[in-house]
Amino acid sequence: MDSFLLSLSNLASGWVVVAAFAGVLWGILGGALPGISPSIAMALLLPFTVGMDPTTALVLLASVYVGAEYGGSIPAILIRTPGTNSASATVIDGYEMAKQGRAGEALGISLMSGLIGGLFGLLVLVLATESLAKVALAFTPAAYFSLGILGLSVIAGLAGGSMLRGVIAASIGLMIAFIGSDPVSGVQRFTFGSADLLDGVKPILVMVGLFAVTEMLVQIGEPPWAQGGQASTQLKLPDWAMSKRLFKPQAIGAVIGTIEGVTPGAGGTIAAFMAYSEAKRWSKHPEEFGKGSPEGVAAPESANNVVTATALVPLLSLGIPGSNSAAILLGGFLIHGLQPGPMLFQKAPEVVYGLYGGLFIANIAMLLIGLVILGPCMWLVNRPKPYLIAFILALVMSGVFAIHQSIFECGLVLAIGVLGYGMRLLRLPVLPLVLGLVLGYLVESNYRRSLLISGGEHSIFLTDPVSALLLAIALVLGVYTGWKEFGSRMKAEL
Amino acid sequence: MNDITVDRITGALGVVLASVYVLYARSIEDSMLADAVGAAGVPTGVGVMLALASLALLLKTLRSAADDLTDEMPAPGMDASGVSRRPHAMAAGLLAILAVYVALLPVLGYVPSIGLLIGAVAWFAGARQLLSVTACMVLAGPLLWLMFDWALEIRLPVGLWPQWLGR
Repeated sequence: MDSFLLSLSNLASGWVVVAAFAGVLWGILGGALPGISPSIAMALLLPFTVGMDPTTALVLLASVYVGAEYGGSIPAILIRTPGTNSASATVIDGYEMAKQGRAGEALGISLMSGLIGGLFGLLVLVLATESLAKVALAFTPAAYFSLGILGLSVIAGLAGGSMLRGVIAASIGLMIAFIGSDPVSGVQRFTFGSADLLDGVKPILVMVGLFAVTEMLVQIGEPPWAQGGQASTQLKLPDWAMSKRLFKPQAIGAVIGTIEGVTPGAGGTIAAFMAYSEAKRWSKHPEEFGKGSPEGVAAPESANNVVTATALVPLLSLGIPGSNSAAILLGGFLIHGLQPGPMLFQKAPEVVYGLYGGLFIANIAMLLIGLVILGPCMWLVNRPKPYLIAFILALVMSGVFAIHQSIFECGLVLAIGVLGYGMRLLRLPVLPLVLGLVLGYLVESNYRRSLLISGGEHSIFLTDPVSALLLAIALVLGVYTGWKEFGSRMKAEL
Repeated sequence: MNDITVDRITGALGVVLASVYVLYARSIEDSMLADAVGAAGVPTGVGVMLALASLALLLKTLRSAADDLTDEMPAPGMDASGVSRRPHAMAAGLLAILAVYVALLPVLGYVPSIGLLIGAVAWFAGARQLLSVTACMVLAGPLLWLMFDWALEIRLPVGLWPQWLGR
């Protein structure tokens, strides 16, 4: 009840409401631009949240995520170019509807399905997170170490489709995490004599470099984005009869989005395509799919918006970011001195409940802004790419300098951008690196603390029941992923 | 680049990185406060993990190497591994512009540097309307400065102008 009242009290906080509306607006505009993913739109704002109140900052970032998922569907429907990866499934029927002169109807279905999905996801987030965090409160240092290993194994296995590549990327992340002071003795490690590295590499710099700078380095060599959308389209919300027809695909999207959202490494794109496929399977009109079916828009849009909330379940309860966007939100927590995980509910409950309240406002803001944003979105999509890249980079470099007024950090972000570009060339997934970076301290400090408790006996990780269980799950997942990879290679060779 | 070439490069780079990292980690001196694992313990373990994963990736490529040894002539504008050179050249050029911006920031200050950055990037990315590019250069700097310095109260570098102007 107290948590509910705390959430409600945030609805009355002016700055939280402003942050939710501003975040959604930024998210929709960013999501509508084909080169800007939700995580990049969030990363661009991350440096500007440094001076804000933590709740306002986190609501701003989470609202960008909410807005970007709807924003991505606008060019997907109007110009057959998904603004975000998770809007790819929306292209199939959304663009067909647009070709039939039903673009406004498709956009209305996308908006309403996103709203329903977002609110359902929020309900799951509120109900599941605290219970999971309470279980995690009983964790010993050994269990925390094993939790870190589990998190790394899940992401290494799932992100990018290759376990070995995931392990390599996670190792690089861990290596970056070890730069600076040793957590036990305070000895300096890997600082190369630089005073600027004594405090280590801040996750915010790695995230801005890996997501924003890398993307711009890639985008500058790619052809211009598709242009020429219909800015004059009028958005049309579904009527009662249509709403009844859309209930089933939206429910399918909600269930699949919940499962995929809480699974680290899965994400909105997989959820959207699975929801599309299942909605077609269970539809009374499967023959309409691919030819402009409203259900083909509703299911993926509901699924990817559910994920915006459910992806936060493992982050808030266990401290494990399951997606790029969740990782950026984690960066938002860290720059305010907050560590997501079970202790967050003890140390800063007002921030968590504030985030819940802010997410609710963000979903309402998405509906209100979505009704009027179509024209500005298409105007932005039609801007020449060179100017957009120039302004995005100006914003990135200004934002990075604003964090600590450090020229060194501007250079460091460029170096990390180059690392991200190299990883893109070598097809190494980024998420395991981010996870290695943010879990590095947790894994190392709890490993060494456990050994201090056990007098150097490694058996503590197996005698502690929770630790043993987590390690067993990590092992099963590792073997399963390895077996799946081996199996698919064998199949490809036959 | 095909998968095997990418795997080979990744594996080789991983082994080199892991070797250098482990050697460096072993040279870390522990303090009197160190525990049994020591400051170098976990980093060494991670280095070994990286080396093993990279070696496994390299070994994986050996199995299918024979199928991959086809002598294809690279297409114009492509390198031997089939990758277009232009995107990399563009990325390198953009990086150079950003590096120059970082170098100029403490010298010229924020407003001229960010204006130059915007103009240079827009031009480099293909904008050819001189008037528009110049307008963006001239207007963006003061607008961004207002946003940061006035609205967000973040102090931005003024460069060496006070020194040059004798203040």
